[in-house]
Amino acid sequence: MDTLLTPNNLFIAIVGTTAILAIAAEWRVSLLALLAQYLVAATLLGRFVTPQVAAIKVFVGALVCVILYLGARSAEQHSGSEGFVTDAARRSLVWSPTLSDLLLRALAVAVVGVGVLGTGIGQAGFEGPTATLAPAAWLAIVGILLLVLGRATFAVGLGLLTFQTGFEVFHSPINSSPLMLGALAAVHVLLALGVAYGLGQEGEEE
Amino acid sequence: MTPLLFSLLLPLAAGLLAFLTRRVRLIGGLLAVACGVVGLLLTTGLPAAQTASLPLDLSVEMSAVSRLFLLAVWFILALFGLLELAQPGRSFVLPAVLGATGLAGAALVVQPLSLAVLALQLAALLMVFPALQGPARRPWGSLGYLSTTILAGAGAQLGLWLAEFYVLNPEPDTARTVAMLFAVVAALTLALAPLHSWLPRLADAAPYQVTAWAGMVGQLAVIAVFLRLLAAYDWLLTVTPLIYVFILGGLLSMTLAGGLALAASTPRYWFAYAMVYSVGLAAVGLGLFTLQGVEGAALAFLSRIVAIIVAAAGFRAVPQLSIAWDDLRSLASHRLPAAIALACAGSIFAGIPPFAGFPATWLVYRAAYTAAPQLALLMAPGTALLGLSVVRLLTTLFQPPLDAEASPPPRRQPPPPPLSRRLTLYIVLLVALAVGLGLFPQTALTPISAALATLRVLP
Repeated sequence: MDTLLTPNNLFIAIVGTTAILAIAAEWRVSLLALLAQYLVAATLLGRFVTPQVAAIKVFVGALVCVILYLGARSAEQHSGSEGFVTDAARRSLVWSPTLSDLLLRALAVAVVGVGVLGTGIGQAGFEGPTATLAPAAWLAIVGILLLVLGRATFAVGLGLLTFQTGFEVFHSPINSSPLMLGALAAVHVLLALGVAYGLGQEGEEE
Repeated sequence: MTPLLFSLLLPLAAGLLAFLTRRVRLIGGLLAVACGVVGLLLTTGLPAAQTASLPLDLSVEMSAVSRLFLLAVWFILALFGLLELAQPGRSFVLPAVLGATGLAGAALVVQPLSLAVLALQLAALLMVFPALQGPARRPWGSLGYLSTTILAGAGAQLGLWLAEFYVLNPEPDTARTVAMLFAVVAALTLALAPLHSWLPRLADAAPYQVTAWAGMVGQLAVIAVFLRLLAAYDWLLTVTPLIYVFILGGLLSMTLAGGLALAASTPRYWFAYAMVYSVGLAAVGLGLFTLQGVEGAALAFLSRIVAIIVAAAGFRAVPQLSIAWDDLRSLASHRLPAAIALACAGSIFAGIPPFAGFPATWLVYRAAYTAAPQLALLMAPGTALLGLSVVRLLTTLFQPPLDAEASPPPRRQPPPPPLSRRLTLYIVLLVALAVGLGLFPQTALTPISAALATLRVLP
């Protein structure tokens, strides 16, 4: 298992999951990619920080995915009424896929990849104390990219969650006190709840 | 220290209770008023400075300045509760306001600073839920607030980590990076130009109480945490030009927001740009970093709080949910308290006497003129533009109604419900407070000056 879960392989797995997040138009595929991203990030943290941090990451990731699944599914199945927020998630899509959009998104991820690996972050390598630096930077930068490309609530949520995961991968080796971990987990869950709530809510009498 | 902890935990518990009983909004309003009053009483009775250790490497450190900020936070919470009692809002407003205000209060005193930042981030995230209940049902503005919260929180944590790194390894490049990060985070969270765009979008999409909370408690807590940061890392003032960024951002905010307020397409946008202008004025005073300037900034922020809550009450009194300029036309003829509230808010923002904004504007201008006369000249266009936007607001509110025969009212529209007595009384009290603060600014300035005198980083 150790030969499979090398820092290089884990980085490649993170690149793969974020690439799927960037180009997948179906929200179920995106959600699976997000879940996989949490698992890979947790494995990375388990190997280089502490198993407790990894366990929290797995738990929070699973909770976030359940929240988003329930939110997106109820929005998709909603018959529609006055005051109900409509966006792409209701049509099962994170964004409207066209070939040119798909190519541009793939190109954007590739450019970001070259940018990250070509700077000092990439030169720091994937071993030793800086092993989490490049994956964290990748996640944060692709998260911002998804945020910028996002034209619907669900897509923006995916970008913010990816960014926050990147920040946590960077921050956990620096400060893994229980209070910080708990507060960061609360930020993550509240963010997912906010996105799920933003997917649509019934009208309410003033 | 137990009273302080009790006053901090009380709004969190009350927020949970208000959430469980959110259908009975009277309970939430009463809880908010009770928490605000209890917080004010307990904090007033506490000594000016104290520290206490808590489990899990957590400690509470209260200085004279953070005590002043705490008092302001509890005062705002009580005002919020009274507003909700006078005119109940959406179901998530009060639970979120209670929880978020408790967390913001904790951010003023909790140590380490990284946890204070996280508490503030959690508070802002709680406010996203009522923000998404806005009348327009447009999530985009609220999502901008959500994104700002997440990005600013990460930036602040990164800055704190680098600041600790600088203490161990003092390199000028690290100091500059820290200053740049803190400047961006401060500009983003305080909605200083050019990073202000989330605030007008939030004001356009969210209920007024959410915009008001973000502009009052949220930004007040950001300034408090920033002052704690400057006290902990005072080298930021000497090694980096961080403080000048506030003057630049403040000037830009005043000028840009003044112009945008004059051209605002809706009253909601006008409200947001007036808020950006006023935070710009406070930022200039803060950036001068002289006793006079910081006093002016503190008074400007206090008068801004009064203006925001008066404006929120005034807007709540307008029957239409998505207010257009046409809905405010001749408002004084049929909703005089609402018109007076909006006129009062505008006058405070623009620094028109005898309202609270005047002494604050005067103090900041005097401090700027003392530091550099050109600076006061540069501030003038923004103030003039905002003043013109207030003239536009006043003429809209108080213009005589059109002749009924010449332009008959549409028959299908039912007459708006009468303004509640409680909301009228609330508006009268707030206007009296605004005039009182304008005529007797020393009542607020005396405790502010006493607290600022203990700030050792201030020259």
